[in-house]
Amino acid sequence: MLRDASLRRPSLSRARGFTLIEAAVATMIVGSGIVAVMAAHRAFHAQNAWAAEAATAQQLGAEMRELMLGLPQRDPVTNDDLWGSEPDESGVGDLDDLDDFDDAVFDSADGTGPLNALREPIADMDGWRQRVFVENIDPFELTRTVDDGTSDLMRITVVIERRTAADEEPREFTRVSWIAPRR
Amino acid sequence: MTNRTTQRPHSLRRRGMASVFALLLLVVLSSLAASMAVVAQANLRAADGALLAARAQGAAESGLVFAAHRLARESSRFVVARGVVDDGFATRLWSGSWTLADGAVSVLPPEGFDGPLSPAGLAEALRDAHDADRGTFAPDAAHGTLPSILADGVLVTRPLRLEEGDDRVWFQVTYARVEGTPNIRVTALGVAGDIRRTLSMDFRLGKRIEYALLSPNRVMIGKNVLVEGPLGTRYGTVAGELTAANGDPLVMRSDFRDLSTALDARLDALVAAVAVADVDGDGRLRPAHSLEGGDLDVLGFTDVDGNGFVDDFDLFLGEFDADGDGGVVWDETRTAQAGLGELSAEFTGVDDQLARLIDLAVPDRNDDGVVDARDVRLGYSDGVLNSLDVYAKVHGNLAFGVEESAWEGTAGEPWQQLAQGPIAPSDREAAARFEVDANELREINTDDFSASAQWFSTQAQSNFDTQANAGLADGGSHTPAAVAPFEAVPYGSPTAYDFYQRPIYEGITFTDVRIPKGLNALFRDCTFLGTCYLETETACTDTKWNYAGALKVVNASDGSVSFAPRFPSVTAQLASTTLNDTRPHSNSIRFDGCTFLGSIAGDTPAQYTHWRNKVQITGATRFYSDPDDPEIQLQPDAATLRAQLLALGTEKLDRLQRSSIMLPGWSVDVGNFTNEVASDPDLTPRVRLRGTIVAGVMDIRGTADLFGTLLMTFRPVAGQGPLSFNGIPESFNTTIGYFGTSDGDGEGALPGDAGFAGFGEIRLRYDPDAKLPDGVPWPISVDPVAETYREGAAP
Repeated sequence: MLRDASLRRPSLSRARGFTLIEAAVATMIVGSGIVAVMAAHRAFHAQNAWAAEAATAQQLGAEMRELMLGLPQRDPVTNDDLWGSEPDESGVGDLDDLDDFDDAVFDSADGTGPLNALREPIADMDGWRQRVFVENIDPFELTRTVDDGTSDLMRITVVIERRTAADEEPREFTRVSWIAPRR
Repeated sequence: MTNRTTQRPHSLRRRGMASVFALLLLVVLSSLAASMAVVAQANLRAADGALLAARAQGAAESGLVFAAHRLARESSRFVVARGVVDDGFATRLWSGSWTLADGAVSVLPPEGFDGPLSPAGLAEALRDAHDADRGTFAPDAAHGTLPSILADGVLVTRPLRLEEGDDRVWFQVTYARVEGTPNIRVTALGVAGDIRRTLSMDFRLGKRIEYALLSPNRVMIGKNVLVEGPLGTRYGTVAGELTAANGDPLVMRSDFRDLSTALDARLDALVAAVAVADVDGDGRLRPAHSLEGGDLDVLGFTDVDGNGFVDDFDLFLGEFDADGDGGVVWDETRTAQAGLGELSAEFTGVDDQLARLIDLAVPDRNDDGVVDARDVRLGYSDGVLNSLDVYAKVHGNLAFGVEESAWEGTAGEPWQQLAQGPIAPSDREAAARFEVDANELREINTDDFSASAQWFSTQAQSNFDTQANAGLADGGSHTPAAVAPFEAVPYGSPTAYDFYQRPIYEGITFTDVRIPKGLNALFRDCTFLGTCYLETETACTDTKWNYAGALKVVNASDGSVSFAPRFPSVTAQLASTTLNDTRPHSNSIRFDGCTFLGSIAGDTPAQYTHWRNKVQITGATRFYSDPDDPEIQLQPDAATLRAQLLALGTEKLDRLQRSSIMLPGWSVDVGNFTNEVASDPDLTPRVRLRGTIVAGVMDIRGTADLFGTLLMTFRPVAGQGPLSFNGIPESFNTTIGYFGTSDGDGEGALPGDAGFAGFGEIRLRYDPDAKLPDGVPWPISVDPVAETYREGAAP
């Protein structure tokens, strides 16, 4: 059998190691690269987390909007006589007009929220809450708030907030705002 | 063989390779970091973009809602007499180019802003309103000249901010006429940062009187009457109308009265509880409600049908549901046909008309356009009264001009004790509203219909004798008045105020005919094609017009009956002429079992004179004006009816469909006091009225089906017209169903009295698609056309 000398493994005695300088430079380069990647990873993770939470916040806002979209401005019985929920409306299921929701908070901390469009608390939403503000606005100046019950137009604002263990106060993620006429 | 060229390089040549590897690794790590950055940035941009897109969408939706509100508000300033808003009239309203032929158009002053009092048209009214907006701004120079009406009539408005100081989120709306329709297209552009969203939707301009009944006089809804639609009355807003005796704007009787003494007692208890605890005014009590449900257990009331309310129907079920299955069987044949098996009757022979009324209400229960076995499975005509029948006295809401406390203060009792029965309001509506604004709950009068009456007048021909003779030659018959029997007015009333000997015409077809004044006839089994126009003396303003020539019955001791003048010395003046009898100058007509393929109209009396100018409709009188009316198909002569209607032509049908009865200022009675019921109740003669029905005062009794809107014109005023001789306003009421003298209806008898013949069976349904006659001054309404909703910019 013929042996091809060119396929022979080089002799171990010829395999020389890296020099100290080589190793040091390489370690420095790789180390700084890894550090940079780690730092970037942390930043990118934070960005992704924000994006995910923003999407959740958007969904929670949309749920409240869906819940309230079909409601009349005023209670069919008390009409303009009462702002806020009527005395006989104790639970979220009783709220039957928009002004009933003014200053309402649906918070995971106390189990009242956040709500889906069917008025049910959504599970596994620790730290999230929906705050609702209902105010009458001037029909000819939409940015100006007027006294409760004094105009035909309402602005509903739903603020979506989250409070994690690291937060002293809930942080606002987004707010959803729309206009509702009197029907 | 050894190939030296393939030998690995000498190890000395590998010096520095660690740096190369490290650099390569750095490149890999950098690439990794770069890709992570790209992905993270993409996620960030996607999330941010989604938030902005949601805000832009929200801004566009707010713009659409705002524009719809603005359009409705400004449109309601245009009060029009024309009944139908078509493409042409909508165009003229938009541009302000309406003509005299369109009838009266008045523009109310702007509300909420200082603008021109009389804009040229709806487009200008909208422009003025948008010009008054204070939250507008100009994102670029092109917006500076807005709002503006372009040459093609499109109104473009200035952008509006949604938040103070935030110029990144705003909307802008445009309005445009949609040719070929009466629609206005609203396009809303929503902007958030660089993201834009566009929505558009059409809104139809129209004119709708959203009431089943609208009256300036008091309204009485009796037992065995179901109403589907809102009821409105302005009675009680004039001093002296409210009284403790019978001056109530509305009286309603429970359908379940007079079935048993025990049930009456329980109904009394429920009415008392409702008066105390019913916080939403719907005549029902909710067991689950903290206030309404409080005493239900104590009173022993339960929600038998499980609909969440305790009402009259639950008490009825509790009284007659012998087997406790939640339903009351009234017709074993129907239960068997419905596949419910052989159930024992629980409510037979007590009040079959009531049972039929409830069980046969709303035939098309799944609203699919046909009445079939599926509807029977949903409770229609299944022989059982239960929750499937979704019973309510009124499916709609009540609107009063009167102040609630004023009514209750005068009556001395809660209004719910006077207006009994459950009310099922539509979503978002209160069951009862008081002090409703006069612009919303308008009062109409005889003058409003002069244009419509004129159209009918021009259609009818003055050839009554010719047509009658032709009808006689064709197999009809005629009985002269001299040999005809006397009949009471109102027909069948035990307390009649006058008697007529009427000429009788039977089995004759009339086409666009004028009935001459003074004929005072009875038409039996006649057919009227097109317009049946009743002539009368319009100058009937003498306060004694009603009484000159009136007769009373004289019962002799030998048992014979004769008729003599009721007021022998009373005469009436017609200009300079003294009349001993006003009958020859008036028209009191009774139609019995007639078919109208068109409308009844007439001259408009200057004063309401119900003894003399009266129309009574009895028997199986039918009204049709739509060849495609599904009820025509149920008639035995459907093909003939449809062919005759089609022969009238589209334009004529359009006018006839606006009103089946156009008799402002007349007294109109539908049905009669005798409550005729055939041996087969399904074949009981039933008066069917369609469309907008205009009369001074109307009484409906017996068996009737009304689909449309009843508009009453007569407002009784003490000391005037028929109330000149100590009359009181509460004596004149629009009555649907049966009432007796104790309710202030002097024409009726009470259950148990000799003249009492049952309660009848009446349905009154509002038709949202009914065409309106010209003349009623009513604000323009705006309705969204759901199928025109579009997302995205127009191509």
